[in-house]
Amino acid sequence: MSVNIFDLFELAQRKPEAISLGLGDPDLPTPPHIVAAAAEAIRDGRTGPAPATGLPELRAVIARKLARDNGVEVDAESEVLVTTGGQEALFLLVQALIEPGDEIIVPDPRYTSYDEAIELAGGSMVLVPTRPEDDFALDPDEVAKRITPRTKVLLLISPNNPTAGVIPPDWVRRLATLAAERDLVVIADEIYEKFVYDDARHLSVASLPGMAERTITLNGVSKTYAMTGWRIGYLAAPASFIQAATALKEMVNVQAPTVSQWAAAAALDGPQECVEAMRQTYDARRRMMMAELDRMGLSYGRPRGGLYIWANVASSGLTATELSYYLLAEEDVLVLPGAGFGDGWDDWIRMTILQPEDTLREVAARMAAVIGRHGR
Amino acid sequence: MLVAGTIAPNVARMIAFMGGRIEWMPAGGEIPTGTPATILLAGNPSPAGGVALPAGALERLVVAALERKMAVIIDRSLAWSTFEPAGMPFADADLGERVMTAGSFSHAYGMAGWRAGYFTAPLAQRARMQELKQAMSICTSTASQYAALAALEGSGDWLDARRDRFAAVRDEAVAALDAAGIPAIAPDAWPPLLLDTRLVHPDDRQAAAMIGESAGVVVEPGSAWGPAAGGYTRLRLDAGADALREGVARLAAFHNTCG
Repeated sequence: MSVNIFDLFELAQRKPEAISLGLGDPDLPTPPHIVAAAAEAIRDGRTGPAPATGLPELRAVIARKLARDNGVEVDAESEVLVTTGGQEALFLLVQALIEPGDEIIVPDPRYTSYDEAIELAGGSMVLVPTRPEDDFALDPDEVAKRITPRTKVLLLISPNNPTAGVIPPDWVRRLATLAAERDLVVIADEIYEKFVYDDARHLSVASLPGMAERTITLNGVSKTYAMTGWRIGYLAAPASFIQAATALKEMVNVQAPTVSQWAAAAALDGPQECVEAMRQTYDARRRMMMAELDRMGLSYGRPRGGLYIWANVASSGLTATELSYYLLAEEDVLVLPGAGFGDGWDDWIRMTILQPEDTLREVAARMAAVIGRHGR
Repeated sequence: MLVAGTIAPNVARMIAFMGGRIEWMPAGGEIPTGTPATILLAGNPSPAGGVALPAGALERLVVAALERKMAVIIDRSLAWSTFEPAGMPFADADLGERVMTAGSFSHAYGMAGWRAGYFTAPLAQRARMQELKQAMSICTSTASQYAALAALEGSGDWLDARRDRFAAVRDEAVAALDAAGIPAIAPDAWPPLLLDTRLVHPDDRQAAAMIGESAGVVVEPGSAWGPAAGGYTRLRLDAGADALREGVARLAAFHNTCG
């Protein structure tokens, strides 16, 4: 049977009831104190227009968070921009930064939402393959080989989507040195920073000496606080860049939704135990799913962070797209084949860990059944 | 892009940023012969002054653009806040299926901070629109979407009463301006109003600056919305009733000093 990713997407639209391990939307509820803060803002009538850069109260909270959690000092007034989710942050920063002909170094496989923004800006992606033997961390030596006079930006996504790789601190330092030596701007996508597992540790590149002035940190509340539907992200960067990105934001959608900004302020400034509780939940699911994959004889990049497992299905004799299609068509389970994350990854699938353990166990059983029926 | 009437300054900046070029439609409302424009953008009511096109004018314009194989975008951001809602914009309902329409809840429902709007487009354009939305922000805030749903499905009486309040404020402001001898174009939709300030200064940017400095009233130069509003300055009626009365009184006092 020959299927492609478009067949899968078409089928997915016809199966909304399927168990989804597709999108990266946390299944856990937004913590109640955050919801309460939003409700209070509505009751108080704090719903009107906000500055394009974001509510001053939220920007102050973000600056405090960056200092507290990341060791990054920023000026809340001039070096923070609140965005309509992390995706808009990504879109704005690429549009503000990339000019036609610029090269941007992107780890591969990749979250392909970057592609559209980069193409729209006229930039070109230079892909750096990441490898299972490195747990899909971005190797500084591989990056160095691909820098040209046209290279302008180094994109770091750690923890990574889709691979769940985390760049170890010593590699982050080497990448920072490389960026400084070659005068590159670093985009640090840290949206999954709070979800690291085992001995992995997240290090913010902007906290390293001399890096704040060349780093744009992208983050948000969507994943950390289970707030994807609230659409709040942010950028922290030198003032000149924030100014340029704000001018674009005014064109694109004026400001992030005000109620969501109050909710985000409560999230970042409130009790953080909820985050650790979520991390432990995800960790337990991750371990369980790894054990299930082991039982099926499938290999995977050890997921050291984030909300995904990037598994290699080659041993089943099926391509990832075939397996994904059969899983959805016959077992009502949606996983995403690697073809959606770059060329040459059709032995891999991305599964989220954003379902309860019982459901994940059921998914594993259905996957084993599909492999049993169709595997070669 | 051929613009009929006016557009918001941030929209003009976005068109330029995307590499587009704006051609302003000449007075008279005819599409220029030989225009290189491939897209017609028409705001109704006009974003600068809230003025609605006469019945049938928009439809004639759209038909003419479609005959020229142009894509058509109708900006209906002020549609819900029109004092006398006109209902469907086209007598020919099928025409609506062939154009793109942008709409907003911000002004009519006081929801500017919620950031929910909408866009309708022919089916053929849907995939590209979704790709762009995905690339730009994935989705609109869920809470804001539920609020917008409540706005649309809630009591029409509430909106009618609100429109009546808007109209009362407009009528009071227009009457006060008229009494002061300040020419103004009464809007058909909330909240903008255009003041003819050519006697203050023929350049509306200078006029706006002078009014700000001398009268202490913030108005915006109309030409920022396009040449059709050149010579006018834009006053927002949604400053609050007391602030608006005070603002109009200051404008009247300033007008007197201008002779």
